[in-house]
Amino acid sequence: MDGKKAVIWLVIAVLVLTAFGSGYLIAYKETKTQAEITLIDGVGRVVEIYETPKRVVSMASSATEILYAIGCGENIVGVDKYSDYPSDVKNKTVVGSSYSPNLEAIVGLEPDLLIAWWYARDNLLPIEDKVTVMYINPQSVEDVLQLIRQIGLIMNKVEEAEELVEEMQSRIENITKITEDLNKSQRPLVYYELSKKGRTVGQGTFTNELIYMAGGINIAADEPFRYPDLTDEYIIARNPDVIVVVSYGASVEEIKSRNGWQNINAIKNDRVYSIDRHLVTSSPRLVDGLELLAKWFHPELFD
Amino acid sequence: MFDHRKRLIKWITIIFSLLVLLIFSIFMSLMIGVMGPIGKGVPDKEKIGMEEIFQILIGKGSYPSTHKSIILDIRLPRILLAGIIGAALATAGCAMQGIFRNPMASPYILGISSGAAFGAALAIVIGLNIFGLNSVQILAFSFALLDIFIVYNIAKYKGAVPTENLLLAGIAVGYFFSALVSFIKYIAGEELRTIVFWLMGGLWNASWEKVYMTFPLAVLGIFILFLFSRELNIMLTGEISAMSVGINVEQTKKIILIFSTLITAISVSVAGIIGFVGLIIPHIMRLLVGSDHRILIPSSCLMGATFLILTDALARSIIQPSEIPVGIITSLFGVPFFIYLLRRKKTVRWW
Repeated sequence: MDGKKAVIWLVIAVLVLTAFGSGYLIAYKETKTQAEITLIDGVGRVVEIYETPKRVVSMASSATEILYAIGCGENIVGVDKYSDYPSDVKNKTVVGSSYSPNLEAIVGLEPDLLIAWWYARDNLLPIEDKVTVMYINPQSVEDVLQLIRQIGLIMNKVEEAEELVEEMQSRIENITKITEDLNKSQRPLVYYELSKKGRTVGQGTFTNELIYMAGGINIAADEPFRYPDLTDEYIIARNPDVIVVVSYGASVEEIKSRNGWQNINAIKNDRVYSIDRHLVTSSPRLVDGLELLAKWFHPELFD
Repeated sequence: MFDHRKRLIKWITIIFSLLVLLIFSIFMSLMIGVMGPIGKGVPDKEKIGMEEIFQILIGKGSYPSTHKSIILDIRLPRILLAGIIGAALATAGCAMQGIFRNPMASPYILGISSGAAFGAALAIVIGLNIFGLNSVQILAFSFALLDIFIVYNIAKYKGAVPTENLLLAGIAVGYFFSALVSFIKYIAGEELRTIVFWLMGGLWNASWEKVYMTFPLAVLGIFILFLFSRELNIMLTGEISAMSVGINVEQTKKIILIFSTLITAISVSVAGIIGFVGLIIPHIMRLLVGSDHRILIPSSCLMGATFLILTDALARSIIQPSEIPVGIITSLFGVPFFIYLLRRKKTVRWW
């Protein structure tokens, strides 16, 4: 037994040493010539671009839309399976999703640049030394405009990006210059439903920001979680004036026929709408979403 | 004496054939992927050829650097990681079934998986790289160990640790951590799906670093559990009779528990919760080679490796270019095979 004990202690010692040793493995990167563009990406990494990328893999639907919008559609060689706009995307090679990317397919496409959501990082770590990766993490409308400028800079399309940003800004201003003067009583209460009854958007989400910009008040705006589940009772008690449901969620008819919901203002006044999910995220089309919401919240002001 | 030799020859034959099977499965799955040779995704002329793979492996001949990168940096570490994890889970399952004398025991029976899941979910929600290292892995591993530490101390009674206490404490602590995971899933935003995918288990983010991190611990843990096969054999007859032949039951149990936990925790921390392998591979091998741990442990280990390598190859090729979490495949394909074996040997003696 003593012999065995000695072996075991030895083993534990070796294990601890290897564990610490492997922790300090730092990948050594050779120094190259001065980078053309150096930027900090959405997870705080330094990304260096040496020449304008010709082959781009986009694993973030927002980046895909931005690339198309500034005229870099033909530079895209691969996309993730959630990129589905514009329709030309279906001609591109699919490389899996952020949650389970096909690393082999990505490397096989030999991209000069890979754009991905920040939460894909853990899955893309193994190829960070083979492909230039830029993670994006836009949190607000302002972030999206910034992202468009950034991608424009990288792709050598500064003018096109600036044009797009200006167009978006002017459309946004057309709405906010009217809505920002509205006081609380003039803003309709809005319940925004996601995948199931009660699931909605709280603080820190795009949709929450868009609802306010469009002149509404989100009934879950003060919820501490980003995607809280509200109870039936709470929704009925708050009595929202408008209900908006995302396209992958319930149908307008189903919401109207829910038990106990008949007396909600939105349902009595037939103000239940369904919205395309792409119009309320970090894509350039969020302006379309904003315009729709504004029209639904204030039909008298926006026609 | 003659019987003894015959048994030895039989065992060597079994180990040898399992080794051949393992090597075959490694080569087989090296061939599979979108870039070919077995796989669809790119035009034939861009595919990696069969001879090219051998050239890359021996480092001779000419081939595009991308192909080399795909074979050596993406496929090979993934296959090796699958092998290591399959071996570790199957061996840990074998040992757990042994000390608990319970066919339902698996490496996850004491709630390691829930502990690890909580650690991983926490790391995913609070951000990925707090220590500059991969915090998902570190927290998953730490919480798996924490789980066992709590379970062990709850179960301890007057210096001994009855297995019934362990089981119940494991269930309780496991449920507690599951509840915490559910809570994190509830407050998570975009990270929710990352957590869900992690919980399903998969090897898509395999890398050489993960192989280096897992390999030493797994090999040594498996080796130590193998050293205790004789004790496991005797303990199957009951703890009291084991004590009567001079085995320090409590200490043996503790050591087996520690090393099963370590190799399970390291596996779960790199690959998430891959079910089935640790539960059913030991049963399959028990049906095929008998319940003597001296042969059962090494053969479960080899079979576990082969099984996870092959199922992972399936996982990444069924719906190319996407992939299915391997945990789904292991159960989907393993269960029918297990039922077949079970039906064929109706009068099986489990223990």
